[in-house]
Amino acid sequence: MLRVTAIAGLVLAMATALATPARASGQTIVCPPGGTVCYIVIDTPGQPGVQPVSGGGNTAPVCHEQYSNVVVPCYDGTFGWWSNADGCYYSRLLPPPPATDPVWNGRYPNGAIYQSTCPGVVGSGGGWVWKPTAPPGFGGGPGTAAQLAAEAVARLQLSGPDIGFAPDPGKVGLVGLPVWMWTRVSRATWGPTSATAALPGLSVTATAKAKKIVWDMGDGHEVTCDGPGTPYTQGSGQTTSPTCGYAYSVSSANQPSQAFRVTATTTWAVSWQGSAGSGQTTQTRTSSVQARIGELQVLVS
Amino acid sequence: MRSRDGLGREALATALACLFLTSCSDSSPTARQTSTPTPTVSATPDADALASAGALAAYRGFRKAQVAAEALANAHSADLAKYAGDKALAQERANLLQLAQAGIVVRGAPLLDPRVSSVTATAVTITDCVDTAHWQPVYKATGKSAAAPGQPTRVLARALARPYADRWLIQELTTDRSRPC
Repeated sequence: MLRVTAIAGLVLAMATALATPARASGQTIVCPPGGTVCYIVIDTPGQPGVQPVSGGGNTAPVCHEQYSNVVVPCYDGTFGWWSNADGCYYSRLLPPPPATDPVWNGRYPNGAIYQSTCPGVVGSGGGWVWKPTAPPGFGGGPGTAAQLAAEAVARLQLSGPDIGFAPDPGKVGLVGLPVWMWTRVSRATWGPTSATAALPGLSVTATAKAKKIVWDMGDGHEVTCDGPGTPYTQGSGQTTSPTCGYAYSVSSANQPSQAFRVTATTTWAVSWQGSAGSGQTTQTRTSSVQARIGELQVLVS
Repeated sequence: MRSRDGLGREALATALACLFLTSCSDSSPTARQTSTPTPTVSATPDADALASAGALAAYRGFRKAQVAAEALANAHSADLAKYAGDKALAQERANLLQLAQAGIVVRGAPLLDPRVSSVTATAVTITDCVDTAHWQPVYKATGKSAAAPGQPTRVLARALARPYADRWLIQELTTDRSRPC
């Protein structure tokens, strides 16, 4: 129930003071500048202007109200880009106002004119402003694109090899006989794959393709294969892998668990592209498997 | 009756607005006109008349967009930016955000009576006695009035328009609530 009579006197006082909110018993009279009818805002205790957004994973560049930690969207399709510096959104005027407009103040055509929209307080300003360079945060700022790129790369969900190994890890191989190594090929293990991270008005797409797998055979030797390798089949018999193979010269009898720990590391070439720029990076992912290698005389003894 | 209108000038301006601009529609918030003046267009309209027509079209367009936006408390109205910019746009957006947050919408439409009070090639000022009797804020949830009590139903508004791109934009809009009209 509004206490109409209690605030009636205030209204008269408000009539000449534009847009200065007056408080009366949990109610605020707002007289927007340029508006015609003052209205009563019923205060809700603890009412946040914008719901705080909990950060998910990587901390995005936090856009927040000027004097609080209330999170606001960094970009609004109508208002433009948020600036933490003054709590206003900025959108660049295209086309710019004519040279005759006083907003240029003699500086035409240098710099640019922006429409600022300041949501915090009714009557707090906002309007056209001349800026020699883009305001802070405009276009997401340099940090935003990098953050988005990192997010896009994370969404690729790259993994190490889905290891195929002959002799089968459940069996014992022999010194000197061919070993086949490969990865089962999928988007996650070999690519190509892509993922996009986006904020409204800004997006970055990352694309990844595996370049090589380095196999650490666990005996002090490394084998580098430029492809996913060739899966071993029964019909391959005792032949050597045409693409990615090895032959142990010692047994694994003296290793922990009597097995070599074979570690395979995939190197990914990742490139990302977005409206605010592009870049490249390299990522590695590792998987491992156990290989038991025996000597013939051990087996027959 | 149009006793409160600037007859000749407004008639010419309205006619020009209809000729050179596009926003003459029957659903305009302006409902005070009860007679349709016969358009009288001179062969070579002078620059002041063109400026006035453009500015008045912007003003009426802005009011129409404002009525539509406030009826929904929609700060993201695209139409507002067609007719207003600068401070007038910023303050209306802030007002709409405030309305939305407070759960208030403004129902109905005002009666307008805009007149050009000064004209140059790059600036036109418009004064308007806005009748708000049937354009009032209500709480969306209850439909009850959200208007602060004791307010005049007619308030004097003053708008400043300037040319922008191919049209005129309302750049400043102030209200003098203390002066009856």
